[in-house]
Amino acid sequence: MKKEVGSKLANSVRQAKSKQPKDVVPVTSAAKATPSAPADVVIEAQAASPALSSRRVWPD
Amino acid sequence: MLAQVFSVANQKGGTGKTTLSMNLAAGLAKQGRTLIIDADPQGSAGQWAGLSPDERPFPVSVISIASNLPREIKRMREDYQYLVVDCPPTLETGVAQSAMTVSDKVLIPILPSPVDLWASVRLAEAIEQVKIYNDELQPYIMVNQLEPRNAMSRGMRQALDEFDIPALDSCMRRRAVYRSSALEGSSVYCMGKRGDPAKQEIDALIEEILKS
Repeated sequence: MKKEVGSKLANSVRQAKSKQPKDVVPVTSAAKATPSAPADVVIEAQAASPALSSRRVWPD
Repeated sequence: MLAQVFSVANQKGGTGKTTLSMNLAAGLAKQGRTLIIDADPQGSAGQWAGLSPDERPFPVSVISIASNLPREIKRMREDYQYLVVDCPPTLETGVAQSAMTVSDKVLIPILPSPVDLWASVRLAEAIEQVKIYNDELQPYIMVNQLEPRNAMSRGMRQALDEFDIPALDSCMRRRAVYRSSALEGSSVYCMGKRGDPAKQEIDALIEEILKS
């Protein structure tokens, strides 16, 4: 039973890998262009989120 | 000496990122100065610590960083021995990837389910791309909510062999005490005897990742 389920799971992972589009994961163009400074790209992405205001510290 | 940085990431929600982050940090805090960085806009880590009573605060401070995560992490490395970054459950914003660019290790909690396994294929791809910028990043899969008698759980090891990312021997079993500790704003280290088995799991996990 264990082997059967394990094999099925393993097969399903293999299938998922084979169907995985190679460019689906976003790596920002700026990060590609400037490997030494990927941080700048992220600043913009994070600052754009209305859910994130400023730094919150716990405990005070 | 600069802090070791552990990111906890998975783009799928509900895999136990915050549970792992909080308990990992609580365990690491016994060995050195530790800080939790809440990089998830949901703010679950902050909420967790916020539930702790004044007389028994969560043993590790939690800060939420809204911008320039890599720069802030690099800066904080000088003041701590361990930094634990609780990443958001998405790859779309680039926040998880940016955390990984300045991390030593990324821990990927996965539930023993096919859907979680499939979702992790995408994360593995993302990690490969991050390694272009941080070739020393060590990713590890950790099975969460393991149920040893469950066939799916028992089949996980074989399925995880399909990944290029190594799976840790240590795992977190499905235990109510993990959820209880969240409700009490605590960690399994402060849950008395009922927390002992979970405590042992986290201790074993810490030993394994510090050795690796």
